[in-house]
Amino acid sequence: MTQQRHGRIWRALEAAGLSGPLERWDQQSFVVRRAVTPVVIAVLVIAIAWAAGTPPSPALLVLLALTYALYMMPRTWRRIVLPVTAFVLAITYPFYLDELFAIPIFRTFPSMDTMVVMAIFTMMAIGLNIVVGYAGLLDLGYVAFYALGAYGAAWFASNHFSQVDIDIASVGRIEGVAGIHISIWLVLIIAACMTAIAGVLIGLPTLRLRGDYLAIVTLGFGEILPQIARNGDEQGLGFNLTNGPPGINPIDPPGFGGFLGDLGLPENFLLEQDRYVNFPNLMYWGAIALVLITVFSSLRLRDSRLGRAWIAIREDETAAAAMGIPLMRTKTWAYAAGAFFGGAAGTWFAAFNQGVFPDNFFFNLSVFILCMVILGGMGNVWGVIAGAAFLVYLDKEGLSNFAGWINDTVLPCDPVAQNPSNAFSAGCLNAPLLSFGIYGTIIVLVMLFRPQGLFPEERRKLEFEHGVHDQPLWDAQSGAVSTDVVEKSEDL
Amino acid sequence: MKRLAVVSGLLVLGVAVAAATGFAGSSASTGATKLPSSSCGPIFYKGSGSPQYLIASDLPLQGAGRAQPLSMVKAIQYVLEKQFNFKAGKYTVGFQSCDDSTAQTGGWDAAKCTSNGRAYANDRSVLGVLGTFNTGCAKLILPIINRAPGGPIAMISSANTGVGLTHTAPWTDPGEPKIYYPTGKRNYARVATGDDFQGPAAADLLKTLKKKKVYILHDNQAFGKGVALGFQQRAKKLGITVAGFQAWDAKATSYESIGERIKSTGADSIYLGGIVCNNGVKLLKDLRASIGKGPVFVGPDGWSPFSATAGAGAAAQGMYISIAGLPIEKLGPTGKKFLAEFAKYQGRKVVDPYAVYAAQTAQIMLNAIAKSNGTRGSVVDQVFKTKVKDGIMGTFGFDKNGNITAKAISFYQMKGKDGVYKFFIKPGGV
Amino acid sequence: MVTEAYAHVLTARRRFSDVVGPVLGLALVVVVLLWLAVNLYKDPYSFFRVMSIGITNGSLYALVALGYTLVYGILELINFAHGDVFMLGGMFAATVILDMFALGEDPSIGSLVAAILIALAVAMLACGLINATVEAVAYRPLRRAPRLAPLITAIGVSFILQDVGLVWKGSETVAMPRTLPDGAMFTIGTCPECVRYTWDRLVVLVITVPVLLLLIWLVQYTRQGKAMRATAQDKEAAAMMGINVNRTISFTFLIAGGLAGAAGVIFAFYFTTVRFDTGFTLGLIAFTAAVLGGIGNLPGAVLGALLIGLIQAFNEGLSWMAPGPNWTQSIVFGILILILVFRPQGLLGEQTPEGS
Repeated sequence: MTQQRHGRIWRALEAAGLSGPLERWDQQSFVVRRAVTPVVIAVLVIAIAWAAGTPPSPALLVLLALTYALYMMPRTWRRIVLPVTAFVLAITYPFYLDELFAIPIFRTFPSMDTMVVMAIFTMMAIGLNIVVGYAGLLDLGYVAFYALGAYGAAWFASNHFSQVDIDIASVGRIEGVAGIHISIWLVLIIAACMTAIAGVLIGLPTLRLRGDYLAIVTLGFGEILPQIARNGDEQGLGFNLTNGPPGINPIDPPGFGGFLGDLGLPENFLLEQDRYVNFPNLMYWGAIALVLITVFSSLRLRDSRLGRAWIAIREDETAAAAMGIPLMRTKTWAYAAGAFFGGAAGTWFAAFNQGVFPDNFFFNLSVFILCMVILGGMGNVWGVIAGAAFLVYLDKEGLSNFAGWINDTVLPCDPVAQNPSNAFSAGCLNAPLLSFGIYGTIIVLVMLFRPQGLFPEERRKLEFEHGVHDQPLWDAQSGAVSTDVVEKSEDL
Repeated sequence: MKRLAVVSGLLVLGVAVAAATGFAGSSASTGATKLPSSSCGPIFYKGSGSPQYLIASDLPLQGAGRAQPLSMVKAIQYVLEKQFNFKAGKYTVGFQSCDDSTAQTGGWDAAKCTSNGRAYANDRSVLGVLGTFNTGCAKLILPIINRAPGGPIAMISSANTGVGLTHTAPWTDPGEPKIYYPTGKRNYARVATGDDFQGPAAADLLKTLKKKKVYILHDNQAFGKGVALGFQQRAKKLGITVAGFQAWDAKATSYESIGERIKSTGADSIYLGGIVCNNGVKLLKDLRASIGKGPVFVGPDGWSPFSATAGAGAAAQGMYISIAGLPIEKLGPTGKKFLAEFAKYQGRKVVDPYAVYAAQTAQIMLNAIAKSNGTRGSVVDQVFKTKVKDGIMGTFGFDKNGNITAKAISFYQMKGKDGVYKFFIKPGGV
Repeated sequence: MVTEAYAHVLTARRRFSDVVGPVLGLALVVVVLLWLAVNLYKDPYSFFRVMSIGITNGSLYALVALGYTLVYGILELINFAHGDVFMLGGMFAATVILDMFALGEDPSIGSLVAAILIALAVAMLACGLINATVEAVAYRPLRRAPRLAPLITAIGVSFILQDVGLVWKGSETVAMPRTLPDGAMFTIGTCPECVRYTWDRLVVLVITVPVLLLLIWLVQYTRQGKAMRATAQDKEAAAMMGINVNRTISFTFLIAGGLAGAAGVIFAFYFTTVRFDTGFTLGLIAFTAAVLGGIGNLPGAVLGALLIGLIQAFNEGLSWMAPGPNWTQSIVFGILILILVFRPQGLLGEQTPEGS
């Protein structure tokens, strides 16, 4: 048995006189071998590295110990401990960020600014996952909801509408300037609801369409809305809705204000009594709270009657209709739910940026978010979170760090002569320029080789492996526009 | 067993790579606190020890137009090293060049600007910021550094032309400029002349050229539209008929239809508020092809560098381009001297006008620090008290809004591959 | 198969959209026609000048739209990457113009014709092969996958092709000299207020029309065209009749790519600029044209493209009450949405590529 497993290597070791210890090792129980192997390897590698002049950082050791603990614990424990650990690590991230070691090749751990954006995009990806993953409706215009949420923040928490002066528990507004100033927590709800209504309005006429047509219509909306944002001033619309190209800023910072502030919560995220509090950290914790709410709602929605109806529609629209599921209403709810979270994410993004600019919203962003959902695994919330975290890191820091590493070590790069509008010039790789091609490659590779995503949901995986019905996944009947039109063509 | 193999394999790989590339150690620093390396370069300081204070520049260092900001950085370094020897009065000063752009957008990025602003505010050793390049970015940074702990941080820009930053105009947003100075104390000054002078100056030019009817196009960007609005105001006041006010889309495939639209109005001049990077070359060619040789083009400094505009060939010939500042040809003796020395320092003969302006802002900032008591607030006071006499850009100071008192708009006309200096006017504004 | 209760809902909704669709559409058409009539009355010369721009642009869109429609007809796939194949065609032409011939403004007729022919040959062949390769690598493995899988893949491919263009030519606009003669072929009225029809517009038609005729001949009268039509109607039945379905699909992609290549060449010569993201915007416009005409329908694509070209030109070029260039995109996509919602089969009805 042992002989067979190790073959030639084994014989070589035997010849070197090492057969004794190895045989004893092989006779150990599986649990012991499983426990000892990683330790031996880790110690060996660290020892070599140390000998080569690089002592391990404490953070690396802690991380290794943590991984080891998770690795060793029984599976039933891990199911609970792993999410809790991940949550605690995420919450405490600002405190140990500075102690972290350099990641090989990608160099830096995400900075706090990146982490905030990461959390915001995670929220959006989970929202899009409701539409694409649960209900199986491809939405290529998700950026429109994001934009609407962001403009919601700009309308309700800035000096933009200076014709009126409304103040509801606002924080940090600049004295002597009118406008609608509503507390960011209320704005989050208002903007999200507004976006959800927009989702319904967009959805009602379009959701009758077949999968790919629906995708194109949403793309159309995703192209029109940013243009309205750009043209939405006096010259374009006749009244100043979006302030046109310069955008709207500054937006009131989030904060808990006087009463809750007295209870120990941060009064104003941006500054407090002429002393700068750590804005990114507070924004990050706020975003984490929003992500938690999103994850919770998303999971509860999935298991609800509505969620099961979505999945039924995704798998077989005709059968779902036959079972009495109202197609339009169910799909519209998916749209509304997805839009709701997209809008809330947009609001938080605007608050973080302290402003809204029409340039921030373009089609590629919709694809970027879609890529997160596809990479992580359509339908699986945890996978989508992983996908979002990875891609945002790549977009914000990873790619340029990676290019920096390549340019420093592999290529004969001359950064001074580098032409920033070329992907390769003066021996340098300009990876961020290629970012969307890289996301495109990720999309294609995932669709070709692992269509269920990296962390597939069990049910979704089966759908991809065995197919659904014998018809394409999202259509009641191919060749027809939708169920009701099928009926019509039969009438004719 | 398979799982074990996979897990340990991954572990080995991870640790091996980590070991190979080395574990990073944290380095302790003394003196001035370094601004985060995520957007700022290393501290430029060659004096003894480490500097007490820092000045930072905030410019878009990535994207197609980065040559200009990069030469501005070089000019600031020149002033700090060669003219001040890293000393402002009794203080030693270092310099960090910060980037407010991302490679993806190829231009300034809102998140980057606000995060830079917070970095300046939180780093107590930063006494002054030189920048920004883009008005939109300044609008984000100003309210943050205005409320910085220890008083507002002084910021001097050599390129911002947006009016709302310092004062009001008929088209500025409600609340401007108050909203950028929450503490009520002004901490921003600029040596560039605002859009409310650059746009209207072009209208004055058309008046002198005896043009009667103008068609206004803008690129639907903050700068382009702002300057076009300023032009429109002044043109109406001067009795020039505005035949239309439209945007051109940088991504459009052709502009022939717009050309026809302009042609049917019978306009004898076209104001192009925008930048040449927004498909300007194609725009010039298409417009010229449809409207014929008659009507004259006028544009703001977004149409510089002239070599880019010259790409339109015959279509660009005769186009007037305004520059919001003193032309290099009009510099005084100090300016001329700087040109010669800086050309040597940067190793390139052609000096970008913006490098000249940046050098001037660096001088003002360092002199203000020298006269201050080392606190942020006092640096701001000193900046506003500045009286430059025969400096690089001549003799001037700042008004209470932070605008340069010696406003200058110069006009160039495209001839061959380059712009030829034509007029220099002291503009009257809207 | 719909339950009683739901069928009721369906009938109600059907009646609603049955009424709203045509009424809204008719009203819109009437308004547009009135607007055009007023403009025609106010400045007839300007109107016709703008119209000739619209027709020229429209015939270029037609070439790209046909590629969408061909592929959709046979695979029911919106080939999102098609616009980017077109962009690569433009880049091939740019290489021929700038690097091979190094043409300047107003080159000699001989070198111009040679450059156009070589650019056409290179771009059509290369783009055809690129398109067929994309199909074989990215779409063929997904033939049995859920319907949205190939669409998502196509979006990915579109981004990859954009990067190919970006690596090849950089992120800035590739500008070419105006090589086509822009003198007037004929004029109507007294200049300068006249309607001038220029030679370069003729060149666009001289290339577009034969390519279109060739395509119609190919689809209607050749064996391969017959196989394409059969495959479009029913893949399984076609396979049973001895048609090599995979090869037919590859051939369709080759043809569509060739059309995109030709369009790219015309674009490069006529519009004189190409950028790595040119294909995205123009592709969406062309796709809208295909949908407007009735996707899967060849004459429909041409009709739709001409209409879109005209609408675009009228919107940007007319002087009375035209929304203007900053609304062009909204108008084009507004049309797309309205058509998809109220008349998904397009103007020319639900027809298969054979046009029967």
